[in-house]
Amino acid sequence: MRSILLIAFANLRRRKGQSILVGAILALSALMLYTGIGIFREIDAPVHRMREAQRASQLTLFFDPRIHDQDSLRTWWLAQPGVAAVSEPLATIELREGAFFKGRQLSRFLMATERPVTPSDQDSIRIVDGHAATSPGPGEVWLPTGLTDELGIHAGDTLQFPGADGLVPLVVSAVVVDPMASGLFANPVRVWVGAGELPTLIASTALTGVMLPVRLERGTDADALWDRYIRSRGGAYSGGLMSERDVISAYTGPYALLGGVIMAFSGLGFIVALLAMQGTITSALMADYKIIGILRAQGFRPADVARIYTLQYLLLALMAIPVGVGAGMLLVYQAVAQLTKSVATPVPIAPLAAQAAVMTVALVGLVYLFAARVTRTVSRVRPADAIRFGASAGTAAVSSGIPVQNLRWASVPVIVAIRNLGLQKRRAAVLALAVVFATLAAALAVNLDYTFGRMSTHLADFGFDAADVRVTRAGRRFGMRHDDLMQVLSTRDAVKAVATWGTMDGMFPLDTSGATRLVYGMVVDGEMEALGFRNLRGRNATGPGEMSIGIRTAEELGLDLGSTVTVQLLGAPVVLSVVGVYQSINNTGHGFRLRLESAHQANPLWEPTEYSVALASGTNVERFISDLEAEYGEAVDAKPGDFFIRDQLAQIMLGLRMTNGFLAFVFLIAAAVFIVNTTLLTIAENRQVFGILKTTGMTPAQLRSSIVTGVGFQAVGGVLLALALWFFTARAVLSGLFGTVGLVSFPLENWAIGMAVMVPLIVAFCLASAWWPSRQVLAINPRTLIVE
Amino acid sequence: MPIASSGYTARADIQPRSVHLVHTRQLSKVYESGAAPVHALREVNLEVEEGELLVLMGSSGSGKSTLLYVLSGLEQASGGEIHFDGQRIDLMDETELSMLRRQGIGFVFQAINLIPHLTLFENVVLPGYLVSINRDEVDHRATELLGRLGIGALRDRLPAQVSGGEQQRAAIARAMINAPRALLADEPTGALNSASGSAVLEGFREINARGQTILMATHDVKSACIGDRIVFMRDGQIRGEYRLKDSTVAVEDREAAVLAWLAAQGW
Repeated sequence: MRSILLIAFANLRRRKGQSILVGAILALSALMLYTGIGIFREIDAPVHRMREAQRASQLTLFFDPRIHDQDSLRTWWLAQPGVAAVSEPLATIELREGAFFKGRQLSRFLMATERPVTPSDQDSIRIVDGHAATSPGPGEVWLPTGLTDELGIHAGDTLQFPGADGLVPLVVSAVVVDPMASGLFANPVRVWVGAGELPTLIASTALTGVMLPVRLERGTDADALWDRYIRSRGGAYSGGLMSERDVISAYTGPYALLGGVIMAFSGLGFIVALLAMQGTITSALMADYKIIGILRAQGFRPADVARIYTLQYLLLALMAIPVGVGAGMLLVYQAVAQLTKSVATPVPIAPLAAQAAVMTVALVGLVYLFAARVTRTVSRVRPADAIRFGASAGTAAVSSGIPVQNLRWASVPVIVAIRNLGLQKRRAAVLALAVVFATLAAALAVNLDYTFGRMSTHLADFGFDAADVRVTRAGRRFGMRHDDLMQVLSTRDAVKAVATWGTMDGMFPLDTSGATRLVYGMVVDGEMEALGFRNLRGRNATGPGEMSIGIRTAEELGLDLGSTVTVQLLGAPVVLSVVGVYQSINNTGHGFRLRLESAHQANPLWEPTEYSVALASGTNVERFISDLEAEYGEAVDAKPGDFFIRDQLAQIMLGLRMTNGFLAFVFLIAAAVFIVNTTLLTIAENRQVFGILKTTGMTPAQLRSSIVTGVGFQAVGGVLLALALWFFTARAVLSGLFGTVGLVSFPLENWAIGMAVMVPLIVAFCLASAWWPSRQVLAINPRTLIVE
Repeated sequence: MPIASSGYTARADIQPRSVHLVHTRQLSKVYESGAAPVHALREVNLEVEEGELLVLMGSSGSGKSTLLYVLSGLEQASGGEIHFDGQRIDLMDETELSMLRRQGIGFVFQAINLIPHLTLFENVVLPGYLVSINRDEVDHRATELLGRLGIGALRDRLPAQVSGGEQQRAAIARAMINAPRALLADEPTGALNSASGSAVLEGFREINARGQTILMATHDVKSACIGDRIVFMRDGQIRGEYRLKDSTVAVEDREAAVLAWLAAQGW
């Protein structure tokens, strides 16, 4: 055993370059796999940890205390087994006009909530910037970290809040980690004001919102308890609910999706790495034929020789895989810490380390099994042939590839390149596959960036309406009636179409037992088609008793075109037929859209508050807004169509760029490593052939170009295959991936210019990766052709 | 056979064309690998006439193979001059040397070194394709050469499918495809049995009879006897030469005469 170990170590030292390359492939594969799985599994961990530490509520009810008695409701919840705590009802108000910071209006809606003077430890708040206190003082506000990170707000800054008598300045006295509201994608965002402070923002008669957070002993009981609650009320609950699922997705939703993408790529990348490893080990054996022959001649049995090489790769795996996994762990730690920065909670190391340990053992074991399988070929080595020729006799008894006569059109380097490819089909395929993945990763990065980059001008593709301008009736001291504003908007020359809308919650029956599901919906009046309200199937509602529903709601509730359901709207039952099914990234594909007439069946006085305006082509949006606001003053608040998604979109874009950029980078590096490895192995295995070609007059440049040309063919083949795969499957695959967030028909837009730049860059990158190691061919001394 | 248009070119600093095709002056080669330098060639002065079949003899390590490699530019000389066809090989860069090997010099190895996955015909035409854009002409020339060397019928076989002698004849055809000014052969019969070796030697004799200059290194006295002149080397130096062409010894007695001469040289 000692001699076997000695030879294995000696082999690793003797072939340092090759050992490093094989090690690099193993390390890179481990890195990719760990990163994919790590991000996917651990992205939520700091959020869960923070929520547990701060005793977060799993259910938060929002309701109007004029409809539901807040004390009896709290009493009901407190009496339920499995409920750990129920907060005092918290007075809250959603500020639909948004606040201002440094003259810029916030694109997220704020939900100002009064913080009790002596709050319980339920939903405890952690101050990360500002002075310690139990609640904000008069004229102060506490903001959650997700919002402050996005806007660069610090303790001591001042925000202007729209109040009953104009803008009210509130000083940010603390930046806090709020279990419910610190998510980067939370909207509306809860901000805290001192007890009794809300009337400074809004008339006390308009204070009609209460928040009731409920903490359960086990979060998994949330659905069952909610169903029990709804049944207890006979399905009649007119209010909102924020579940733990909603809160978590506000922290990490888009990133978890990208973690899935990385993991899918990593799995594929690891398959390529295994194939490359098989080729590498086989090549190493070929290159060591003479040594194997000598060992056999000295009395080593085939099993002993196989053990040497198995051990050699096991040693390499033991060195390389922990490096890759370790680097992956560091990367996951950094990525998760960055992506969950707003929870200000350390990323737990233990699960990452445990996962690293398991993966290291699994991958090393896999490499061992793989190497053991491949090294069985040493039993076929005939010592005499191996010692004399340094290769298996008769290995070239079969011609392969295209006959040279059929390549008479080509230059000799091209002929050599094509013939070499024919000889090493498996290796060529593996390299091409690495290029395929690198190209797919790059295409994903380029085209997703482009697609989401155009989202603000293609909102309808993502399930929003396609308004150029959003107008709100905003007047406090004096305002406009709905009919008047409609008249104003619809008669302006620049306006092509107007739809008015407001949000409304609907309680949909889950079954016949009275259990319901709360769904956020939209009530629309006006030209829905002209405003870009589209459906995957069916049509928009055109009158009372009709609705279209979001695809995820349809799936979860088992509804489809033609279904009829009784929905509790504002506490009143309304029978609605499904006439359309739409997709939307908004609220992850959940929701419904109905006409104003249907809402009036529940409450004849209900009025929409928002106005989506499509402008005639060529109209300047900014000028339209300034003209409107100049004419009607504070009675209207107008914003560009994408205003309320702009900042969140920027966050999503940042995440996409980071993730896809990382993915593309890793795969390009992996492809480069494969190419360098393949090039060096090709040269090592074909020293005799290159020596002959050198002797017959091929110039150094021709020798190198024959190698680089071969890689070029594989790169071009890989890129073409990747493009074909991309164009034929990307939309379907992305639809599958994004289907979980409501985009079952992903509106992929391929960026022609980006792709046109990307393709030659990838090919050039591959050629450059081959050019550098190809210089090794110049070092071949034809003296190696001499047999003494 | 015409030499194709592309190829090595004369340098500006060359001396006037020599009457000899090959001419070395104080040529030396030192291998620096290992603890002590190995002097493979020491101040070798050699002249080879056009059309001559020169045989280099000597024991293993005498420097004959090194001399062939240095003459062909496959190894760089450590000192001295090499004149080939009026050009200084020792001053050429790698690309110029490649051009020289492409058209000026053909090389035949003891280990044959055909590319194993190419047929005999493909092995022969490939260097031809390097030089000529007229691929039909190259194919025609390869067919003619293979036929002349008696292996025309085997042209589509792989090296592993023919005998060693047939392989070596294909290697000679490959070396001849671009009509080189000189053919360098390093132990061309060393790996062959007697019958195959004879066939190969017959091939050399046949092409030399057509005016081809050949430099052949060999251990084998029988092989040496086909030459015009034998140069005996030891310890990297030329120790003597024997002119067979001018010898009055009958052909059948040549082997004995050469052996006697070699013995006198300390063989």
